[in-house]
Amino acid sequence: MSVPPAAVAWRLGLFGALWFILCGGELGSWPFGLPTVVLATWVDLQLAGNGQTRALRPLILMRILPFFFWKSILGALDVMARVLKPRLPIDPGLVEFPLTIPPGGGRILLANCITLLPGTISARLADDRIIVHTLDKGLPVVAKIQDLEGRIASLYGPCPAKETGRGLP
Amino acid sequence: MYVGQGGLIMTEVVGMVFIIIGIPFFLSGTIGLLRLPDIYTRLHALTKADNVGLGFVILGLAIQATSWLEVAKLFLIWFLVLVASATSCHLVADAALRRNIKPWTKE
Repeated sequence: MSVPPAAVAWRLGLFGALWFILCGGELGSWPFGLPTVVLATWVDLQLAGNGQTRALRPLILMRILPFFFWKSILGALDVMARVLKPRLPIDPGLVEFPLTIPPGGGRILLANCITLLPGTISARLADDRIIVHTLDKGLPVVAKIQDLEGRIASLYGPCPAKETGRGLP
Repeated sequence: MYVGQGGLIMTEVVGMVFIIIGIPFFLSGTIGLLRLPDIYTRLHALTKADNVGLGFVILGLAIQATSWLEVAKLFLIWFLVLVASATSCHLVADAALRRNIKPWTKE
């Protein structure tokens, strides 16, 4: 299986930048850093199936990052408002959501983002569904996850041929 | 307050304001841990409130930082804590479901 050069290049760049940040630009750290960066790139490529997986689109990621930050702050304010009220206004429960996003990194990202969203945490990711715990069953949980799923799906490039025809709406 | 040789430095003050904004988030996370009724609802308080609290503290420290490398390191810490806390929240909730721990419900 051939590895796309771009998949190698951006990993080398990313891990190199990480090493640079961690070691504060110390020149003497590179005799250890360079082999580490190469090793990390190799391991990551092994885990990512030799760069054959769908890549994140960095520009779209930048565009929707403010949305995640804003939702995260709203989520924290929501918790704060509930726990500080003497009556403790919560009505928790489990909600099941059928996933349309294909398996892989997108699903894991979705699960982690659900945890940041106001009122929901992801409790189980299995088969083609996700079980979400909500602080308030009165919230439009399903609609909010659908919206989030669409945004996360847009982060990834088009589906490879083998993943199409999964019954996407 | 930091009153160095140059007097009161603007970035120190602005940074401190952000750090102080972060404190109520940590506090409400802890109040949630104490007041909420079960493992699932407590996870809500800990993950959401503490992440944002840490975000404001990091932002405040980044404003006070003296080099860009320091800023990059601070945001790297924030990112790693964010991913680790969302992931461990999911794993704790998943483990609780596997043990058939029933979520607390109203009535």
